[in-house]
Amino acid sequence: MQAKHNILLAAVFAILIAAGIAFFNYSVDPLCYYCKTVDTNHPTLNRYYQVAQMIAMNPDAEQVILGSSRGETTSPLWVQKISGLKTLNLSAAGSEFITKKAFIDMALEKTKVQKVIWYADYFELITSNADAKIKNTQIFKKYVGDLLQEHGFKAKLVELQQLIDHNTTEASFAALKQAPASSLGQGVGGEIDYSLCEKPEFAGKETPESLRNEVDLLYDSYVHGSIAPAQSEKMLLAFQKLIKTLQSKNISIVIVIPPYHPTFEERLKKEYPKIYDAHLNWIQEIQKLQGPHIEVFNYFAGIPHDDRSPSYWNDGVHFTCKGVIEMLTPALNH
Amino acid sequence: MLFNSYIFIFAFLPITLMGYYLIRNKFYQQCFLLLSSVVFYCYWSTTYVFLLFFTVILDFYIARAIDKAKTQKARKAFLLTSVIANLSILGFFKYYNFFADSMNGLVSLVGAGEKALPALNLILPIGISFYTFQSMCYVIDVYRRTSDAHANLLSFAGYVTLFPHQISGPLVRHNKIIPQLESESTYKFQADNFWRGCYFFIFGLAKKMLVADLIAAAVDPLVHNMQSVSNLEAILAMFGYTFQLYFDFSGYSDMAVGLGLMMNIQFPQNFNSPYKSLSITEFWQRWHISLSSWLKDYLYISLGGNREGKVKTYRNLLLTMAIGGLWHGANWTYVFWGVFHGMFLAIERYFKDRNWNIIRSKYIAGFLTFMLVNIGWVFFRSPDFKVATLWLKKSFLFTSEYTWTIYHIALKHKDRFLIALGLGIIMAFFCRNTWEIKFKPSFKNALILAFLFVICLTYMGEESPFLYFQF
Repeated sequence: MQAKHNILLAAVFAILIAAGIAFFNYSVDPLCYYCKTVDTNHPTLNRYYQVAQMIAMNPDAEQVILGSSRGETTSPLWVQKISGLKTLNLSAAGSEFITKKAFIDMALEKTKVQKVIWYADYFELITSNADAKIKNTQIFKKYVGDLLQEHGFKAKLVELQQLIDHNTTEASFAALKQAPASSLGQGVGGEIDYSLCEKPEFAGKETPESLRNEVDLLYDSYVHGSIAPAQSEKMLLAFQKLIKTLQSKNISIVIVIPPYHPTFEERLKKEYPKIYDAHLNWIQEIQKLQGPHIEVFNYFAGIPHDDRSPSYWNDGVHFTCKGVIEMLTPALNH
Repeated sequence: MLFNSYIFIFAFLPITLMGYYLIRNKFYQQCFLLLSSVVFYCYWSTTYVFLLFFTVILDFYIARAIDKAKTQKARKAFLLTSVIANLSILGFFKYYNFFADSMNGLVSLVGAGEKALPALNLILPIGISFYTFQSMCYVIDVYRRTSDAHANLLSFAGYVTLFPHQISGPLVRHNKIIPQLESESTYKFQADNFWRGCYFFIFGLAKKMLVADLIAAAVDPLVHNMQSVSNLEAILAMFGYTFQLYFDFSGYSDMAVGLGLMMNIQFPQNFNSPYKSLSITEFWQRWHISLSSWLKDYLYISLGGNREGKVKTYRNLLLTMAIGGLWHGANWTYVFWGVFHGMFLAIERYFKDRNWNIIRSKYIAGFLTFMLVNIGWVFFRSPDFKVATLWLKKSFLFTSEYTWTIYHIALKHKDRFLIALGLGIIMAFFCRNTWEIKFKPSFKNALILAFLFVICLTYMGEESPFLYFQF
């Protein structure tokens, strides 16, 4: 009898504790999944929501940089200095086409954007690389449109599961300690001292040996993960359509196709020729977009003056701020 | 289906338990339990469930034939049929590619051409190592006349397929489980058993999710990048994996015991604080007890055990452990791990035979045993010998220079890993294990269970498979 009583008691306790935790997580909402509008006072761990906060805090922005983690070494202040346009760096790790589209749509709505610098990544047109966070963040739903929306009972279940899985208590506590949105400034890369990057003696943070390891590491994870699946035709069409839409609004678009580290590229060409060829086809498609207001800068074959060293590379795919300067200077001076 | 998944905890388990207790007829309850186990297996594969049933039906009727056979020759022929059939299936699915790869390597080494055998794209049927051994031991027992042939196919199928132990053990014996499945009392709700079942299940879940998985998140990238990790990272990976494996597998075993108890089925203890062992011999009396006793009863004794002199005893120990190693996976590193343990079992036996007791301090004995076990796990975890030797070199500072950075553990996992590792060390060395704790029904304990369960649920989104699923 005592055991039966305590089993019920444990069940009731479990429900109460779970409800308490759920209420706490819902109140803190560490990923802003439940936020209906962009609240610049809401501390969040959701980097995409942080981008939205940054856009909302800079309505006078004239130029935006869109990239994945590869765009994070671009200093918006340096770009601003060269171009004379107030610049926001909206790059965020993992950003693929849908995420970038959501950001640019939001920026068009809330800022005075005239120019877009788009770091094109091969992986951004692969559907499976879409991050669940972008579709779960309510404020982006209207921008994401039909590209990511899934329907049906199973999709709802998955969404519910992600709401629970992502909004954990650990995340809630971490979010409470998060710095306010005002610290976001003009986006990632804002903290980079670009005067150092411009110097010829700039050395980067890696050693030649650690860079070799990093190249190998990222090569494995890329060829078996991010760039392994085929690109989606639907995504490519959507990308082309978006660029044309921006063009029709008289917005200048600079598409930069960054390279991989030379060792990465050589191995890819040799070991995975199909993936390599798919890259070349994708570049061809992008180059076809060149026209009024649209400039394509193709650096897939390499960054000018690249000596493969840590001064240009942090790993197999991420270039340093020095690499950025080499690639973007012609684009910004054009 | 993983025990640590939403679908299992919130759909499969409640439905199974409700059906199990709401049906009031033993035969239908047995059928329902079998059906639940089949659904559990089919969640992974609807094709390979036929292989599972093939094994069940084959061994059931072969055991019956052995029981009825009038001559020893006929008995032996039936036994051989079962052993060959079972081992052929297991061998084909689990070891074919390993065999082909080794053969091709040998052929190319002697310069007799390339690729004598093609590699096949085989999927290892989940749980095959466990159910094959369980089913086979029944036939061997009937052959040895240590057991009668069971009359009821439903009970036998229920035993082999029983979902709590179906995929990763423990390796339960038919003579312990089938009588329980045939008893009327098993199918009546017993609150004491259910309470204890909840205790085992939730504590097992916590061991898996709050210790093993948090350690794994750091260890996996370290092992994957052994070439570039620092000495400190290699050491952390070695100790980390030692505790990860223990909490993963003993957690799974506790969950299986708990699930069994929820249905009034008692499984044997599979782990008894193995890292408290003072020798490798003791370690194997405390680690994966159901497998080591299986290997002893059906392999070591079949090879002659200790009945044919000391040298053959050492040989049998080595051979048993080498095969035990191979059972874990089709890789030479597993074989080496088995031989490594077998070698120390033989050495300890040699010392025991001569009444030599060199290490008198239990602390030194415990430390040495633990370090040997660690070295063994390095081979167990490594994909090949190259990684294993590099890992050991870095861990035991046999490198030209020493590095003490922690760079390969993601920031998100670092604190979690160190806390989980610390917790694991305390629990493994200084606390009573789940079988030693008398977790009586009380207000306080109900609160502890509820709290642990909810904490585990908050980590459910990071669900990861159990390590022993691959074996």
